[in-house]
Parts: sequence; C-alpha cells; structure tokens
Amino acid sequence: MASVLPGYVWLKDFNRFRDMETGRFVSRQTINDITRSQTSEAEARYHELHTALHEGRISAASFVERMREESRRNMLQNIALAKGGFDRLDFSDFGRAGQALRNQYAQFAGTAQDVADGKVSLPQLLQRANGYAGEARRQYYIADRDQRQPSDADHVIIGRRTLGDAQHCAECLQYYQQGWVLASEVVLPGILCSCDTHCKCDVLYREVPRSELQQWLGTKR
Amino acid sequence: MDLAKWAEQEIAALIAIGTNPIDAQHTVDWVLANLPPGADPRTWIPTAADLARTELSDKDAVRDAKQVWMERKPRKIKRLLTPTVK
Repeated sequence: MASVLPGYVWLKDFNRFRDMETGRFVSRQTINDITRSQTSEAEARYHELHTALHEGRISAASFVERMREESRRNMLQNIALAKGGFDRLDFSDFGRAGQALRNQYAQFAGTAQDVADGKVSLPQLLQRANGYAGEARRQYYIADRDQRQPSDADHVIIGRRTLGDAQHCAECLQYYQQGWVLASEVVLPGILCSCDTHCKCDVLYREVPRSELQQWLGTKR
Repeated sequence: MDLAKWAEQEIAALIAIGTNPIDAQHTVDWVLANLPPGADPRTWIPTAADLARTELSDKDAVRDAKQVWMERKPRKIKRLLTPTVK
C-alpha cells in the first residue's frame, strides 16, 4: 500500500537518502535541485520583504524579525538536507549556523537602517536579498563536506568543483580547473570567490582507494 | 500612537506580501514585546543584539524549521528531512 506521504531512510554509510516507496537512492542531482529550489524560494520571499520595506509597506522592525525567522529556517533546513535529516544536526551544526545567523542579524539591521537613511536602491536591496539566501546554500556545502568520512583507512574522499548554470567569476573557473583534490582541500561554493553567496557552482565527491589517489588528483574524470 | 491599530495594519501588510497569518501575528507580537519604551514601531530598528537576545532554543528552532518544511514543500519530499536512520 502506498503511504500517504512517501517516507525516506538515511543510510549513514552512504551519506544518502533512500526513497522507501521506490527503494531507490535519492540522486545527488535531486538533492542539488532541492537546494536550488530552497535558494530560489528564499530569494522570492526575501525580495517581497525587501521590496515592502523599501516601499514603506512594512516597518523596519517587522522586516528584521521576518528576515531572522526565514533565514534561520532556511539555514537549518539546508543543513538537515546535507546531514540526513533534522535529528542528525549536532552541536557543531548549531554552533556554525548560530554564528552565520548572528552575522546576518547585523546585516538585516544594517539594511533596515540603510533604507531608513535612503542610502540604498531597490536593485541593491534585491542583490543583498539574494546574498542572504545564498548564505544558507553555503551552509549546506559546509555541512555536506564535514560529514563525509572514508569507509576505512585504505580509502580517501576526494572532491572537485563543477560549474553551475551561471556566469562564473575567475576564482570559480580556477577551482574548477584544479579537478579532483582531497575533499578537505575543495574550496566550497560561495567561499573565497567573487560570487560570494551568489555562487551557483557545485561539488562532486567520491571515495577512492588511497593507492589510486595520484591517478585522480588534478583530473576531471 | 495607537499600538493596537498599528498592529492590525502591520499584520494586514505582512499577509498582503504572502506572509503566513500565524507568522504575521508572531512578528507583530515580537515587535510589540521588544519595542523600547516610548519608541515608535513604525521607525524602530531592532539591533543584532535584540535579535540574538530573543533567539529560539536549538530545539525550538528545529521544530519550527521542520514544521515550515512540511507546510511548504511538495508532497513528495515533505518527509525527506525526518527519515529513518540506518
């Protein structure tokens, strides 16, 4: 009997979800599509809030509080997506998310002040809104990498950057050109690049035998 | 300043831009609860410290994020982030 709502299993050894209805793994592409839709949905909500603030339809206090709630939700959901569900979030996840959120709170207050002072145009505001949404996507990538561990000492996790469907900054092109590197050395999307939180790139990971590591490093196969 | 009148107008404005009515009510309640004495809710700008001071506990933040995920996501993935772990 098909369940009312499809359930999932998180397989710790594989770092992957499995759909209980179909028995199939949820593909990396599907997870990436969900993170992208998370970002675009957040951008749409943030645009509404920023536009309403700019046009004087909502107060600065309501704007700041709504941005706080939406950003916190988005960030925790993205981390849960990387970690295999909400119940798998741990102290380090909360600590990292908390730090990122506190940084954003200052930015939300600053944005409200800039609007009050007439210092920022609507296009500039919408660009900031996209950046706030991008921060949650960046947190997904950090959590995703942090939990990947090799199955034994004879294996190692490698990763490589791929380019998203967007214009790319020079740094992202450089990271892509590096090909496979140790996972710990992958520069994650949205970090150390001019795109910052607007970065649309992705990361692939794979586990390879330590004995084959040199055959992988620097390639893009 | 008639705070009750402001609250009604603000809730209506938030709902008009797509905010869930419960979130709209919660937002305005938060503003009124944290508004400094004598300040105008139309112009008061909370600081990062105001936000940090009133932050949810980790447990409540997860409960809220989980509930919103279930409300907003398509049927197919509503239960994705509450999986059985093996």
